[in-house]
Amino acid sequence: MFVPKDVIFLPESTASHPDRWVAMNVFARTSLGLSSGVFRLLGEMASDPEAGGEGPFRCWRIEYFSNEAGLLADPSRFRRNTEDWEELNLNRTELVAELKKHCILVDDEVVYLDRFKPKRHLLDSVHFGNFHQQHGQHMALTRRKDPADWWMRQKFSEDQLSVRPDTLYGAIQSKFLERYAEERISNGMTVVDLGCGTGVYSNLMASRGAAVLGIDPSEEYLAVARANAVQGARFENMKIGEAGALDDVPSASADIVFMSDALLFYFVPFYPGQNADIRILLKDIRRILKPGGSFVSLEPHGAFYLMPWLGAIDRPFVVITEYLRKSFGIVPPLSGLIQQVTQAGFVVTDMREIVPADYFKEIDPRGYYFASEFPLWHLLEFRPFAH
Amino acid sequence: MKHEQLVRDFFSQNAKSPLPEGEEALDVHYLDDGLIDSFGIVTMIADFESALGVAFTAEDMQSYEFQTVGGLIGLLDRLAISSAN
Repeated sequence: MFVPKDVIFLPESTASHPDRWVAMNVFARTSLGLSSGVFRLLGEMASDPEAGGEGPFRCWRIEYFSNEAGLLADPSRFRRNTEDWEELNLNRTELVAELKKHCILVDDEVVYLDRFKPKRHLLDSVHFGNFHQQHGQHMALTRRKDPADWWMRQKFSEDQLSVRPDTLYGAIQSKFLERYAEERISNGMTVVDLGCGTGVYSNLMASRGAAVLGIDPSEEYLAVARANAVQGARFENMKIGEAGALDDVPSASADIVFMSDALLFYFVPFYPGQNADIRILLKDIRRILKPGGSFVSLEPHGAFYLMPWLGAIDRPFVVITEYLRKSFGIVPPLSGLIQQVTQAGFVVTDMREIVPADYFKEIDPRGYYFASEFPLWHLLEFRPFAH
Repeated sequence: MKHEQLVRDFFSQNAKSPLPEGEEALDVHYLDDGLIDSFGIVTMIADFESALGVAFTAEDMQSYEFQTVGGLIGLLDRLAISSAN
């Protein structure tokens, strides 16, 4: 029985509640609140298995699936407000069980490391799996909600016609795109918005005077998009990333092909067996673009997205546990993303790392300061390489 | 094993291959053996809860017991008794 090196300890004492620490397994993304008695016990256990006696030991249940509030909610998975911590006074056996449950103590390193493999099925609680699997399991078993419905609602307003301003989606992505559209989209341009969903960004670009074709495989989203299309925007149902799927879009017809929050699914499928081939997609994009046109891709950041927000509110730090080979993350590393596109005959012509708009400081200061230092999205602009 | 028939009926209607006859069925790990997929589990949970007027907790559903046919029947028997009381 030992404390894995994956565990960090963070101070969380307050005047009203002194002597509290957060023990966090940053790989397993699990945590438990500890008093200093338990902290000391963890340090002494390796040399003295009986250290600390029988208790009682004070600790706190603090862990929860914090991303339930949104993909861009605080991903740290412990309760920030210490008033919400659930106090436990445990004997030694109970304490050890609680510490093991949250991966602060482990019995066997081989068994522990095996837990980082993908989940085998929806009921698998032994393997941690990636974020999609954890989220799907939480939604299906704990919340009993449809993950697809959640996916939409955490980003868009109830009527699905705008991006929620009270989340980092609004403060980063939407605010940035408003400025970017002013800079890049002008009257008479032709834009293809691949994976347009309910057409929020298609409408934004059309309102700048562009002729926008929004394409999505979901008829449900397209019905909302069509009902609310602004002048210059039209919407078509086509599959994306399958051979022949975009054949109805004429060659050399678009000044810009736009895609947001979509390429990641070509690297880590949303569900097993998802049929999407990025090479087919990129070949289509290259064909659709006019000579000199641009492929604009807005995607979650390969390093910082879904990593815990630690430290003081206005002086955040992050612990990154994986980058190139992801077992939890769902976003490819930067080189993985860029190489796929350049190998398909494009060059990178612009890159922006996008930070939140100032208003968000009042809504969620921790999220604001974190995302202002560690960008959660980037925009890449590619152009076809002229042979 | 009061609810064996309920479970057998569900698998005969929804599983990719049939459950074996008799006691052999009780040891079947229906997920590992690919009898139903994740969508099937969601259907199964909803069906059993509405048939018996019970609610599984997240702990019930992530227990080892829940993953075998026999364990599932035992759990349904227990939940039905406690909900009747």
